[in-house]
Amino acid sequence: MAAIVRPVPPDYPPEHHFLRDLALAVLEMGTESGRAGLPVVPEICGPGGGVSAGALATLVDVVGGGLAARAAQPDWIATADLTLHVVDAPGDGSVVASAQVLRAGRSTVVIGVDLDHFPAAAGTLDEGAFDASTAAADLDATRIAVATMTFAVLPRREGNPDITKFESSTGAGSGRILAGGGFGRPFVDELGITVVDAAAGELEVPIEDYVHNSFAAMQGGIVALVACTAADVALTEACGIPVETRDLQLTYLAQARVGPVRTGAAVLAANRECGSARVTLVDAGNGGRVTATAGVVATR
Amino acid sequence: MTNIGDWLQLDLWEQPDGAAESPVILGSAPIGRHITTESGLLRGGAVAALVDCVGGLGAGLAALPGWVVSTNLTQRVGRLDAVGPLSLRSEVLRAGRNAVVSAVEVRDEGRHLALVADGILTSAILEFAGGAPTHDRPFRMVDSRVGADPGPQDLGIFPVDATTVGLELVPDLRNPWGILHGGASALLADLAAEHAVTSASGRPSATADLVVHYMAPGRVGPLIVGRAERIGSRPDGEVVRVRILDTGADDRLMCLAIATVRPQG
Repeated sequence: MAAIVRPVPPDYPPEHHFLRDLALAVLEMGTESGRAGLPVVPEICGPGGGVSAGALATLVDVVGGGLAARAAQPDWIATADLTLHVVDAPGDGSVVASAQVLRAGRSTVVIGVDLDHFPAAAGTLDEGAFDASTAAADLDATRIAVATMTFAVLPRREGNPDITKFESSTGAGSGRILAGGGFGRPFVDELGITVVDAAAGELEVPIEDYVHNSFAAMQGGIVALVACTAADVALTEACGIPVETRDLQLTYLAQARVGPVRTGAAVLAANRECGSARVTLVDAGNGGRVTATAGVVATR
Repeated sequence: MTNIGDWLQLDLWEQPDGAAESPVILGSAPIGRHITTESGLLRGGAVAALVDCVGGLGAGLAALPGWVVSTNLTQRVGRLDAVGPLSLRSEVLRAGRNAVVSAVEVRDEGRHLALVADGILTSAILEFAGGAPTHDRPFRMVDSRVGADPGPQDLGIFPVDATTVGLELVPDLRNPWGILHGGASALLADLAAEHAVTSASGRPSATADLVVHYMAPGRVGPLIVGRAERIGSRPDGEVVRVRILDTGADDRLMCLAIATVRPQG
């Protein structure tokens, strides 16, 4: 939970940005609940062909952050933690995250998120197929994950973002609000992630405009994605079979502003079915400051 | 039994190391039937209760002259078949103006200090009207519970229906501020999740990984319940979400927990 010090750039997110390439759509956003969606494309899927936990965590971060910011108004927020528990990873269609405020107190906001998969036949996010009146059961939606987020409430300061810019033009309608070009290659490559030592979960990730949040630090969902990727490579080595993140317990300690971000993973347990690791992220360019710690469970 | 620490038979002491910037808390607890399943496996919720006690003490000492309440706890368990006693170590990762983040490792002395579990506890700093608890430093509370009767198995938690378990909010389970101890909530979440999976499958099971968000104090009661919702299955177990409610306060949501329950046999 780092203090917010920089003014928000007027053009955030820039033309070439990870959140635009994900084609995230805010479907609905109020002060007590909100929904956002993500089209599942091959570039955001893992080796097993299903949507990666990192992409889902980014979706959770966007919808949870947007909702918490509204719930905390006129104050502002800083993300404290994010947990994600995936039970299925579909390879097509869309994922819709429905967020609800569980607690809005003076010092913290807690958000619960349900993630449902809508098959391709149910329509696409572009077509506004999932408006607030759409019954998930009618569209053969299935629950694929649940998540939580906690935010610290901070006094509003000059430079804190105007959250209305992240809404659709009507404030409640559907549609792609962060139009981008989409991924030209797997998103791990798009992010410039380099594997230094797979067994040790050592990755290196540059901090560039493409991954910035509105304060020019690494965006919180991308922090989650990097933690998942580090755990996946370490636990795939430890388990001896390809495994992918299913549980993420991420605690944010400080913003990563300088870069590169470096990761390390300590394996807690590993067998031929699943493994568990603790991943630490540091900002190498900022004296190796620890920016986040994550407990991760990955399964085949 | 006089409190949750007695029930856990937990010894606690502060590492007397002046080099440490923040308090490092060490702990030791035996493994007995009070914190294990019928088949002798360690309960994830009991591990969470230990993490809450050890991490919470370190966070509180780091927050002086304020004190802390737990806001959320995450833990993963590597193995449930620990021999014991359990050895615990808590260190502060971050101590800010409003919150303290602590990391806790749980190791098995009976298996050459193999890592059993690790957890992260986040605590909010509060200014209490009566002031923070006073402790001699370095803190030390040991050998006070050896041989003591830990009290009821599973804190007396009982099944209500196929997906719900209950707990009576007796004085022993309240913390110094009169609310249900966070460790008891974690154990209630564990047993609710396990009960729901076992009821559905007909097979014994054990909770391993656990996330607990503490949202409101449980102070009314007398019945506190944990209601479980099965989310789905994976190779490492079944994911279950549990809502802990204070029935005496119009079913106020006290905690939201998410557990991974491993079927046995």
